[in-house]
Amino acid sequence: MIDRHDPNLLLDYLEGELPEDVAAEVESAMQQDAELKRLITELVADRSALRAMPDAEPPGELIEAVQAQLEREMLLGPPPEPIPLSRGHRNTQPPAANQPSHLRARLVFLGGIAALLVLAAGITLYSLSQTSLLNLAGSSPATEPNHAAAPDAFAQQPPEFSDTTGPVLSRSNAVAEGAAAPLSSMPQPAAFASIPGVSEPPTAIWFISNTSTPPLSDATLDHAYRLAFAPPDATTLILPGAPQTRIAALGRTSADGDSSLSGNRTRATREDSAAAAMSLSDQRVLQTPRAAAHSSAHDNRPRHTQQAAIPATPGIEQQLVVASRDRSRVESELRQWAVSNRLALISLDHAETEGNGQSDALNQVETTPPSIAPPVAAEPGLRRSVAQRPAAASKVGPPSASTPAAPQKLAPRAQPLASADAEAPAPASSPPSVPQPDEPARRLLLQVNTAQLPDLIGQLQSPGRALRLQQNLSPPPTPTQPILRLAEAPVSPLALPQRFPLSPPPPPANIDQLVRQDQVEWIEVQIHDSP
Amino acid sequence: MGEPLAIPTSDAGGAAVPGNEPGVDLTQDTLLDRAIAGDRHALGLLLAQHQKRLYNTVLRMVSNADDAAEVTQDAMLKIVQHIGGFRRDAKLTTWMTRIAMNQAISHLRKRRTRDTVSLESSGRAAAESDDQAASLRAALADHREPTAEHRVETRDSAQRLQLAIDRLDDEFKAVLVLRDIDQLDYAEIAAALDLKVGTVKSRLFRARLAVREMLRTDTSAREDTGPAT
Repeated sequence: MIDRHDPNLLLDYLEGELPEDVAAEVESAMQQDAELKRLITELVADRSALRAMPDAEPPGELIEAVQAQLEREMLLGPPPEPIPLSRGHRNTQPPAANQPSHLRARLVFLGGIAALLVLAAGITLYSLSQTSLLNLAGSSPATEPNHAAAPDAFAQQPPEFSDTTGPVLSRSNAVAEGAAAPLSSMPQPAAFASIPGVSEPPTAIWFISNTSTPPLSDATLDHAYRLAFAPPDATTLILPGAPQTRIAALGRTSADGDSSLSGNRTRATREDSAAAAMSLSDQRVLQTPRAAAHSSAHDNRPRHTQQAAIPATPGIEQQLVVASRDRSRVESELRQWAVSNRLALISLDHAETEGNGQSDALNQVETTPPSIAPPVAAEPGLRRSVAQRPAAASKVGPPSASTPAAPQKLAPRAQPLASADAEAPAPASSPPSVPQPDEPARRLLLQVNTAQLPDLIGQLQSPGRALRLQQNLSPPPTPTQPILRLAEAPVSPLALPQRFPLSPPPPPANIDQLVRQDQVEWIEVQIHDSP
Repeated sequence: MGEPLAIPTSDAGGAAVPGNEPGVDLTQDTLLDRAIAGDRHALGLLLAQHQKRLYNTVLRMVSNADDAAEVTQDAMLKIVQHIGGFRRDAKLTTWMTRIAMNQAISHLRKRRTRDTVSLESSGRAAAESDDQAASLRAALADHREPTAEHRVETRDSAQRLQLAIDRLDDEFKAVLVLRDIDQLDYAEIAAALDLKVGTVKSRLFRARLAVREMLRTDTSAREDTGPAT
């Protein structure tokens, strides 16, 4: 017995796909069920009528129209509407102007909602970015590892040093010149994970990498440097100069002369830290405001942020200066740094000053506004070499206009570094942590790529050392300008200033011997954007 | 695209199509091979072979000759643009039908929106009418540009069938058209519409029942309104 309500059965019967025996059962059921018979009969008739519907002839120019449309698309791109056929083409898509008013109103309403959503999303993103910056500036406890150890580091910010300049330590030049490095080329927080002395992820590095951010406060910059570069008790000197120039100096020595990193970091003293930071290139020694006045004060807290106006150096956006008096550590760390990090070194420069003058300069800064030394013309790609810089101002007080014309104080020396050591006071007779007026400060000038910045900072930061970082020099190295690795640097760094020939490659550098024999207290690094 | 499509002047509905060279007949497979390889002349011949079937399929879907011509043109344009990617995993007929059906359904959706707007703005009175047959005819009629066939009363069964088909939902209409107009088997319909065979059969039967019901209703309405007219 068939199921008269089985649609598949009825369909198969209609389509003639049932076996004969099953079809006979259906027909038998139809004889017994008049309604079923009527329905099936009508369905069969409908099917036959549908199949008998006459075919219509397509327009004759159909293919021509296709060809015309193909040509049109080839020439003009896809048209919004197909090319009309010659007969009776009607616009099936009325223009917006002809749409009913309620449709237009709906479109306007939806468009308005979309615009509001986009605007809200933009505002939210902007707010989030600003919030992140503020948090990184030190408001978040997670990014304030130094506050506990430095209760006065931010609270006692001298009001006279308030920052009114534009973006600091920024890449504004690069942005203006359209040569800004992509964000991915900037030091990533993870790259700082292995930096000794940085207990928190140095997310503050982002503060100094983006000119689109609002001007940063000094406290923010100070905190950024602490997070990124400085050991917990280091002294940070941030020097706002022209909007595009700043010099930051980091330095720390311990009060008892133990300047090693393995020593007691918390015993850094103010005067030592302040004296360790200076800027040789501008012939000024920078100090914390209380350094001279509180020479006898010995606490374990970091020093203030010190700011002083310095001239803008064209092409140099960032200068990080770290003074070092731990010569042996500089040697070993430089060697390790060069070997393990495969530093892309363009040139190596070394010099020593005639006395560091730090103690004297501290007092001079206290009493005399720092004057500006005109920048010396620099070679392309090497803005200002050490030898081109005037001597330190320790002996002459505030630099005068004639100061830049004193390159003889930093004249290139033909003798190797070992000879320089001979000229310098012996470290044993002069405790490295105590500034000596006549003690020469030796300096290495390195040019590296931006990509090496985290490693560089991590390797070179040390108590009692000055590290100067010049970033975004122009013109940057070109792909055709191979970057010499440190191991390939020439041995003769004392011929100052010197740009080492790139072809043929210089003989392998005796950098190990250099750093071992030299008493390097200053490391000046010029950072180029990675090509 | 520089080479024009072949535009045959004679009927190209046979399996063997005159080729470029005199005395050479090209089968559909040969034409397809050439068309896939970029032979625009062969592609033109292929389109000429299928344009009538495609046009009628689309015509049953859209129920308007001009619209059918436009939709067929669009479908053929897509065929030309994508013939190079045809992988022979389906019959060429099925592939072309699928393109044409997609174009037709897309066209119907656009037109339905427009017709709905038109009815909302000007047909409220008709919508409220108690005369179901008049309302049905109003809904079935092509308000934009009625063809000559639609201007006269639809007494012919084929016309009434077409009107009934027009009232079907697109998915049921497509199955019915492909089955009865194109006379494709279930597998081809399933391939063309990306459906399962069971779904095709189910929709086909429901479509037949719906058409029958509409025809019955229309007949009753005509009988009721007949004496008045």
